[in-house]
Amino acid sequence: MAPELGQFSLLLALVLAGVMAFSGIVGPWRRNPHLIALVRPSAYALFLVTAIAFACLTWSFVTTDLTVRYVVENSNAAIPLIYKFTGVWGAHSGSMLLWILMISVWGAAVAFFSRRLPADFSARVLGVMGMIGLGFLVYSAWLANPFTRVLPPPQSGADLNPILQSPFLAAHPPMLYMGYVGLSVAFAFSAAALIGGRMDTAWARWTRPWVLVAWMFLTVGITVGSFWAYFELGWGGWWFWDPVENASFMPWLVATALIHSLIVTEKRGAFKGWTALLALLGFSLSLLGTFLVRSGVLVSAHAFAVDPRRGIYVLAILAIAVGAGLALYAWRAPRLAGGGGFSLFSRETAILTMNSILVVACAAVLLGTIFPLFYDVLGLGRISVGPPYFNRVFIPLMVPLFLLVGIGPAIRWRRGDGREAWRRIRIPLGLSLILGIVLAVVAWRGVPPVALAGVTLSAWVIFSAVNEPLRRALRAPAGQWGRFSRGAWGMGLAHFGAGILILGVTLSSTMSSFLDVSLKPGQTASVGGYRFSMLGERAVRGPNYMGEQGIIRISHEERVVATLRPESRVYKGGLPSSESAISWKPTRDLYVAMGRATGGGAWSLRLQVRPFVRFIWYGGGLIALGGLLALTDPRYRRRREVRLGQGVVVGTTG
Amino acid sequence: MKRFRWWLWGLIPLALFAVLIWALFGGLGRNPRFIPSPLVGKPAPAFSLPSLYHPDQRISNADIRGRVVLVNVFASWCVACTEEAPVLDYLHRNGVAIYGLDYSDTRSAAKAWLKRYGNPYRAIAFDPRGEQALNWGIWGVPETFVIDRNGIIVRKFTGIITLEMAKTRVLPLVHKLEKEK
Repeated sequence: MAPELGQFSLLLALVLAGVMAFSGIVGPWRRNPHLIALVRPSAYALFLVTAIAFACLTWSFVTTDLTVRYVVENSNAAIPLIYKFTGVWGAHSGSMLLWILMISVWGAAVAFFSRRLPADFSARVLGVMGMIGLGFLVYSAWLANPFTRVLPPPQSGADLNPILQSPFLAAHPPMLYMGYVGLSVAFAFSAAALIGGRMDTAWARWTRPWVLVAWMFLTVGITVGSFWAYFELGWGGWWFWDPVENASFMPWLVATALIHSLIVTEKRGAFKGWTALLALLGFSLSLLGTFLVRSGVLVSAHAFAVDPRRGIYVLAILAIAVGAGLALYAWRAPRLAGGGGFSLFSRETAILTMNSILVVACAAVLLGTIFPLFYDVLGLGRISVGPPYFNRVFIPLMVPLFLLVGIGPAIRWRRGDGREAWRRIRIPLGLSLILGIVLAVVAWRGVPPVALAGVTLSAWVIFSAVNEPLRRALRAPAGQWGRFSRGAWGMGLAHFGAGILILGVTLSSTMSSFLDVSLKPGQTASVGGYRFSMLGERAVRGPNYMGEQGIIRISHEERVVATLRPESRVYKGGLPSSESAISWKPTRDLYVAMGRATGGGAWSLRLQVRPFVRFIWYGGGLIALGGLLALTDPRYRRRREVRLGQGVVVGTTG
Repeated sequence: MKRFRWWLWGLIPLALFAVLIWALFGGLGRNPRFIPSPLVGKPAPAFSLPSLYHPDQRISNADIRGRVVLVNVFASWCVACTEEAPVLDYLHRNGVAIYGLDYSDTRSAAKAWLKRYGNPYRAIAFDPRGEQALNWGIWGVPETFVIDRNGIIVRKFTGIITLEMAKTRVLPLVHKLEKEK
């Protein structure tokens, strides 16, 4: 029953998305108030029916309905309940349905919060989102229908890939998709402004909170994904430059640039064309990521089974959506010139520079990701790109970026004052340089220079992020801290998080030690000052796997620090999986992964000591929190004076 | 004049995107199912590397020419390779010539690893700094290339070869290639 209801809801959603797209675009064009009035209800209805469709698929998973092909392929009765939920988006069709659910969530949210915006503008925004939703709904109903029946039903379902059976992966795709799809709001805002030929500071203020929310979800999604890779893939690596990781990282880079350039457009009315382009690019890269992951044109650890029609269809959506957006940009952007002028030494220049660095970094990642494909298509031969390329290109770009993070906020808008800027940066600059020199001389002789440089750089970012709020707090009379806006606090927190992240990356990649050994019960190995003793092993049995558990006691300077129990499992479907065990303190991880039995009662083990690795995810979390704090800025909730009749908007300044 | 330049700037993103779409479509049209590796169908990249066990000897394309071989990229730090080891041993026992490319590794660690997990390789080229990574298009370890008599790469397996794959795909492919001239 549930699959039929889901199927029906999916088709109804298709119709509703069509209504939303048609009335949202044609309504304002023909100045038809009846059509415009139709847009908002259809956005709410679309959300309702997609939610029903998604609930139906979830129900089929929870009850393990083996007449549904998608359930048969990705679940069985023995899987724990939570992974039945995550199984819904564990493979292709379901993750497309999740994508559609997300776009309807964002559509309903935009419909709800845009009631104060000019009616024709919000109708166009929703119309664009309706078109995107329609594209994916057609795809889902036609080529990737998750409700297809299989009759007669098989005896038992396949297994969900064991590496996907992790609590972190339960959170990862929804977060990432919220981010990906959230960027469609910025895309729609930009397209609507380009269609209407009006892009002003009020537009920037409306767009900013949406971009911030999407960017926050992307940040959290990437951070969780990185932690999942660290925890679950058993290697202790946290970033692999895999095409799928790059697909999520590229929109993040552009969204980060967009957040900053929106500030300039809001405060100074400048960079309009550039901001509009970034807003279009963010979601374009999300679509490109979807294509790369779903079409299988690139080899990836995450690549899904491939149907050639699917690749062509997603490519068609990509070509139409992005092509139309960019054509609109080429047509309308020349009108967007203007805005406040600024001198070479100014906050505007600093932001433009950091924007350029981020876009170049994104282009570098994009090139590295698709270059093998380009080469092959051009018949030039073959080239392959791996982590060496990315590290070599990406890291040098990040150094000037993080130097700028501290300098930019110290420079005034429009025309900077060199002496004032110097007064503002000299304390953090001096402190971080002193710290670097002291560490080089005293504490860390023999430590690679790159580690020292990284620590100094992160100290600079952290000190300069703390400096500005502290300076103001010390100067402000008691009780007037609030004069420093939430947005500025959020910025400080996010930049502070970036500093923590650099610290984590630097220290964990230069100071970690690991050892691959084979230990029998009673044997001991030493890594990085810790002694790992294998005490014994025992058989374990889970709901859908069997395995062996090793018991490993770790001691440091004759004191027992932890006892870890890594497992080597074989799942019901026959897939092996290594379940690593970690003992952690905020500043270091002890990590044990267990491989195969190597004969004579011995097991292959990978022992790792990773100092400060958690700072990477703390940093990611703080960056997202900074976004959340900025989002609570009352500026975004202030009533706007809107005169609907003429579609002219007078925003309150602030 | 100024207006004209603005038009050009606006068109740049669209033009770049058109190139991208063309390439992506080409990628789909060229091999609609999958592009396992851009190297397939091309001669194996030229290489000359010291042998793992005999540092004064070198292993190069000449060593693998004239017979059907598997070139397996492995490393002692690679957990997945330990899972693949018994499968390579199975292939070796069934008469397949396997050459190893020890990737980003140290000699002592690699030798200890081979002692523990078995050595199915005819010879092992030692590439401590991963110099061959770009030439061979190595994304991750392990990867296995099937190379025919003429030194042409016929197939590439990314990730581990399971016993089932070895039986149903690798062995039949090697036997088929051996029958060809």
